[in-house]
Amino acid sequence: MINALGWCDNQRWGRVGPQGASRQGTTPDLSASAEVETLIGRRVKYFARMPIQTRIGLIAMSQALQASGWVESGMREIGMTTAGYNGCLDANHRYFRDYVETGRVNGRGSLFIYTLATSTVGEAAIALRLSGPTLYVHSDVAPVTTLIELSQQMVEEGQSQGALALWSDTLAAVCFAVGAEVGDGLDEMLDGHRELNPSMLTNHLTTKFSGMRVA
Amino acid sequence: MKVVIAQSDVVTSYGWGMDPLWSGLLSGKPAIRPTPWFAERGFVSNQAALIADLDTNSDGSRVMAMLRRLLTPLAGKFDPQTPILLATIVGEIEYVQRAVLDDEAQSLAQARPERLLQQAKTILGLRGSGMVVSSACASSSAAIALAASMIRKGQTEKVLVVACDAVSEFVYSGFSGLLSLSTQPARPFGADCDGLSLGEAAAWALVTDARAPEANGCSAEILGWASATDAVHMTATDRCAQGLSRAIEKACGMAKRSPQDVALIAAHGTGTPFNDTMEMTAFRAVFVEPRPTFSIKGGAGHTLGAAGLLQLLVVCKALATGIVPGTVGLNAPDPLARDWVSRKPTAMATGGLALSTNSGFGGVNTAILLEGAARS
Repeated sequence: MINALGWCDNQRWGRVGPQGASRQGTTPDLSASAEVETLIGRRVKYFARMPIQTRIGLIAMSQALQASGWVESGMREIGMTTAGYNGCLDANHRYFRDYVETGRVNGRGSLFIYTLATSTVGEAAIALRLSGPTLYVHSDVAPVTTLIELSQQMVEEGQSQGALALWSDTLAAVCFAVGAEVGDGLDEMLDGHRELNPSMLTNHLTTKFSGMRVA
Repeated sequence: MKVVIAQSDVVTSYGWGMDPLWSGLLSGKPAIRPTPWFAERGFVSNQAALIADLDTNSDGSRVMAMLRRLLTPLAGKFDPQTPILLATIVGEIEYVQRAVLDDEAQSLAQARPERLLQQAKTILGLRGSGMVVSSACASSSAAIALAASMIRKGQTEKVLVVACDAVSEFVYSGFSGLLSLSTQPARPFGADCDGLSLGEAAAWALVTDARAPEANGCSAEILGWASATDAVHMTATDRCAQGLSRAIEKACGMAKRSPQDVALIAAHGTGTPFNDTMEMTAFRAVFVEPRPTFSIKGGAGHTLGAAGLLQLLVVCKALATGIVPGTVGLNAPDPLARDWVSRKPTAMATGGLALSTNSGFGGVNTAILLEGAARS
């Protein structure tokens, strides 16, 4: 079910693929687009002006996508689901504070567009050229498990060939690449940890996969 | 398994209930008016579709005022374990405004949609699972699709979908900044369309397995649904309309029906030239001949996360009555929309299907295909 994982916080990024092959590194300066483009694997327009949670989420999604091997197989109809409202709340606060501080005349469009709960997956769709459904869905019971299950449902229903499920916070994000085929034990490796908040989960993944072979 | 919209209710700027909305749309008169709310601001418009008699107290939100009145009569009516999906874009956004304007940082946490979901559950007496669903202006159609998917998969027999969003300074300033607002009531698909009018609404729909007792007397079966992303731009539409075209074709594919079976289209139709042109491009790509097509946003405004469900409930009424509402505010149609849209109501072809589409920021597109329950 979970084919691959990608994660990122302000210190580390990492990914692990279907056969457990993993890679990790130090999170680059998120305003330096050249380093980030190397990590993401393609040019990302306006990356430096995206909110920090969108930049971190985008890196986590790109890592999960690269580890999944889907792109190499020509798969583009990939859905994107997301949960976790802290980043959105932060963007809402930033937008409205800017509007008030600049005289309460008109909102700044470049901030307003990031007030959506689906902004990060919307940017990921553009940057990673993915065309499946995009959806924010936050369950009041086991949000990560629900997010992964709904992503799986999206694939089984034929809405997309695969799905990237993003669990994110303002400073940390974990992305699960959910496919139709059975994963190689990645579901089991998360047992007991999948409902951790994004910061704790990225720490857990960094530690868990630090000694594993490099992809 | 057949999935139906079994029961529903709605509040819009036309009033409380489906009847004022339906008769308002048939009358051709908009419920969009100038508002003095933002007179001191520098916004490009003063038009809004507001609910006039909303009982808001000093520390409450407008969406909660809508939901309190809309949902209270339902208290204890549903099995407490009924899952609930809450569709919204901004929810109780007043708390974000308060956090900034009154320097009350602690207000921010009250803007969480999970909190709004909990309040709705408390009113309804629900103790089962709940989810907040958001997908820009396609939020509530995405929630309906998710509910239908849960039922068809056998996870549950029924799902309550609640949708709401209100007009606020937050949203108004944002759309004004993007130059998306019309200075007059919106005129979707018109040759003179120049922007949208913001509105507010709340609605609920009980989506059930057709065999559920609540499904007696329902008006529509949900045959198919799909969503696809443009992956082009965060706010601009895909000029080729590939995302929406794909969503429509996939919804028809799921339903195992041909697009040629579609007898009416409830379009997103915001009234912005970019959106309306994109939609007509998609419709012209998918359908061989024009279909009676309408938008409700010239009457009830663009109600953001509630827009999709509002449209679907109007479609249910259209399927039940055989009447396709006109597009309120339409004067002369845009050349692309000629022969598709009409200011006046028209008769629906017997036995046909209905298509409802929504599109939003981030390039999201949804399509839902319905059939009148009596004919299914």
